[in-house]
Amino acid sequence: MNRAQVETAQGVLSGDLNENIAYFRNLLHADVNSDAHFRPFMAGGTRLCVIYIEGMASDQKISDFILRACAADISEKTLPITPESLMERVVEIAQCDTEERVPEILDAVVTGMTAVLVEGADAALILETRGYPARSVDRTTNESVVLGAQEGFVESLRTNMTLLRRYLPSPHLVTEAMTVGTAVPCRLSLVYLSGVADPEIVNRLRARIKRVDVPTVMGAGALGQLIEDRPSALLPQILQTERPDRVAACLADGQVALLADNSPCALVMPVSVFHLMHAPDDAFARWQYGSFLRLIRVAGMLLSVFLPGLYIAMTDYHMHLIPMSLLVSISEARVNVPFPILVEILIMEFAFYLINEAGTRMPRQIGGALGIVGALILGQAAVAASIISPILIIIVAITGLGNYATPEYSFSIALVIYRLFVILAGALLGLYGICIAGFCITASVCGMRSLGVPYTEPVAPPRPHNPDLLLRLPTRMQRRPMPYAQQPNWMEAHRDEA
Amino acid sequence: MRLEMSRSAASASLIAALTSRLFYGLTLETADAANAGWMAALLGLALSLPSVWLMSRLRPPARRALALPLLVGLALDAACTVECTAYSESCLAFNHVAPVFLMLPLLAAILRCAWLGGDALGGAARIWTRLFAALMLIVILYQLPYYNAGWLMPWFGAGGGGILRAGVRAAGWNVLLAGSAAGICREEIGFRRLLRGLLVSTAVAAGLVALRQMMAPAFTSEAVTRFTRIDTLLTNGRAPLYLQLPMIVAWFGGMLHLMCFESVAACALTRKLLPNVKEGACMALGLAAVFALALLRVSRAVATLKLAPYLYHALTAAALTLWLVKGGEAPCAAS
Repeated sequence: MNRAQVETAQGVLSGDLNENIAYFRNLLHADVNSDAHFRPFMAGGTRLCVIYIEGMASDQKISDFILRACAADISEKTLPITPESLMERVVEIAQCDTEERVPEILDAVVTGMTAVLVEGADAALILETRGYPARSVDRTTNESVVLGAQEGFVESLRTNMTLLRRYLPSPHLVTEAMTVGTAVPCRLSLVYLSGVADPEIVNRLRARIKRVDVPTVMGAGALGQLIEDRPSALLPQILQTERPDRVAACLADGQVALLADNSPCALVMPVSVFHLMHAPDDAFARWQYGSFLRLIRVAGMLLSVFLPGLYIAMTDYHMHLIPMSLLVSISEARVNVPFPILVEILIMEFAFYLINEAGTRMPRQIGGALGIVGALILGQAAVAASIISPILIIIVAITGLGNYATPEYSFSIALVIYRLFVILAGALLGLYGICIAGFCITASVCGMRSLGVPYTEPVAPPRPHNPDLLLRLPTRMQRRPMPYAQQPNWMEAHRDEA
Repeated sequence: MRLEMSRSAASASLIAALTSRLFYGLTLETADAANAGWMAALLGLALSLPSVWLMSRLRPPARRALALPLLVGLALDAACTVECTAYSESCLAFNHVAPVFLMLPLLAAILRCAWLGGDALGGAARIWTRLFAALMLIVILYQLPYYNAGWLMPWFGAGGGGILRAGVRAAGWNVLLAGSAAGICREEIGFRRLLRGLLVSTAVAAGLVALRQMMAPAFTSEAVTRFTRIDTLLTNGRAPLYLQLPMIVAWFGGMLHLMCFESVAACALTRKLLPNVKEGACMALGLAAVFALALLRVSRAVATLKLAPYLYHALTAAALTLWLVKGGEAPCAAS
């Protein structure tokens, strides 16, 4: 029976404990479900029943703070026993509440909380007893940094919220609890700094989440695809990060974050294309180093998109642009290669990304072997067999390095797809094709929006902003929040005072 | 509406498009001015200011009526630009391919751009202006040893008449593009913003034309083929051949912005003329006009050589007539 059917079937508890237990047994399929536990017990002459899911709820908490507390503390003065009196005088768990609605009780139980049903009461006591195993906070796996914080989000929503609270210990940090999914709800937390985030943007995100009409959402990645502005666009319109320090920095700039249960990453909105070029440790390094590294990174990204296309355009159509000595060297290297340059490049690109993908999926123990195979295939053997020319290895290596310099994973994949488009344009029309492709890509990027905000803001359209887009200027010049923030806001006032 | 632009987008597009139009017009299409092309750009600015001021002060009904001559001018000029861009690619690497086939990718790019809308084009123009500055800086730094200021002499080139004729053409392009920018802006753009666009474009174009003229002796004859002009332009006169790369990128990038701005503006003005017709249909009509003129190569024969000099007179006369008949003095816009 799904959630909607439950709501329509009954909706609220009756006062009959047996009936309620039978009803919950039916909902939780207790006859076949070995981990749904119903533990009836007597206290002060009243029958009670604890409902929990083994593994999700902590047995120890239930034993110590519910069963033992009821056995020891219920006395004459507690009578009559009701969920309210249990909460006020008996149970020793900080987070507890009463609930009458069956779907809410059921949602609480399946997420690791414990429900206590009381004979004669039409409400249940819901107790926070979650104790499921979870990964402890560890180093990030995909967003490594040299300087700065090293810890990353984990799969537990509560731990992730705690991490964020640690980075932003402010009473203005708001974490709104929400759910998404009509059949199997996924718990979410909408996080923003009140008084800094633009209320219109927060409302827009709330509305988009409410509009999601799918039975279930498997984590933040799936949710991001359901709420982004243009799902058909290649570039990501949401920043997905596993770093709490990065999310905290974004929140301070007026952006909004979404945390989802079972997802070791946060979704940050709105973002600009410039955010996707920033690495988390840019802010930790001195501005000169940060600017230099960012320039290298941007050059790497541009090379990764345009270099193979330029190579094919210049060697196929504009030989006169290549200095004579280099042209001779390229021609000599290609003399025994039987394929046209386009085929040669496509073979190399395919081989490179095949090895890349295999390396990602392969068990770690044999990862080293893959490196050897890759080096042999891409390097020595392919050149020796005259399948590819040595200069192409250099081109593909630079391209790959440029791609790996991209800090955001989704962005780097989008760049690979753009690169294929540029390669084809260069192969068909030379520099002319590359210019047309570059123009179309730029116009497409400028036409995109992230949560209704232009994707190239604050450059196009121009908005007042910190000098922290491509270059990082001295921190004393970074007094303005990003244009997404509410204007004016209390954070800005503090910046001005500083 | 998708085709309309914000003030900042229109302003950036105007700068990107007009700079390219003046540079391309004064180096390839205007032999009269000889080595005084940069003066023609300045004269064009002076001549165009009153007309642009008139256009920016027209009341909405008059502005709607002005859309018709602007639309005709834009369609022809966009078709010219498409044709010239395809031709320059044909000179560069595809002389074995019919220029009509080289136009097709450009038309696809225009279609894509129109689909994305005016604000996307404006954003791209803003980014392009920065990239263009970087590219030109590279070109200028590399060409520095080859500049010969002597080739700017005599100052008045082939004479005052030639400069005046070239100046009138430049004024025509100024009026056409500034009027279009005002026409497709969804808010009041204001004269000051248009003036800023004209000043920046003219200054950059005049500077580039002067630098270009310091690279090679001026062609004073109309008989010099367009192929020779394009070839000399893209090979940078005497600088090393590999310098063509940034120059080619700057050339095609500028031309793409020009033709897309003109085409999107043509679509937006069609919509203004036919307010009851759907935006998609207006887009189809505007682009069909540009595509037909470009593919049939009517523009090459008619617009550039014969109509372009009259563009200024026609648009100024239209603006003045509308001012007198329908009234001017629109409320001042925030600039």
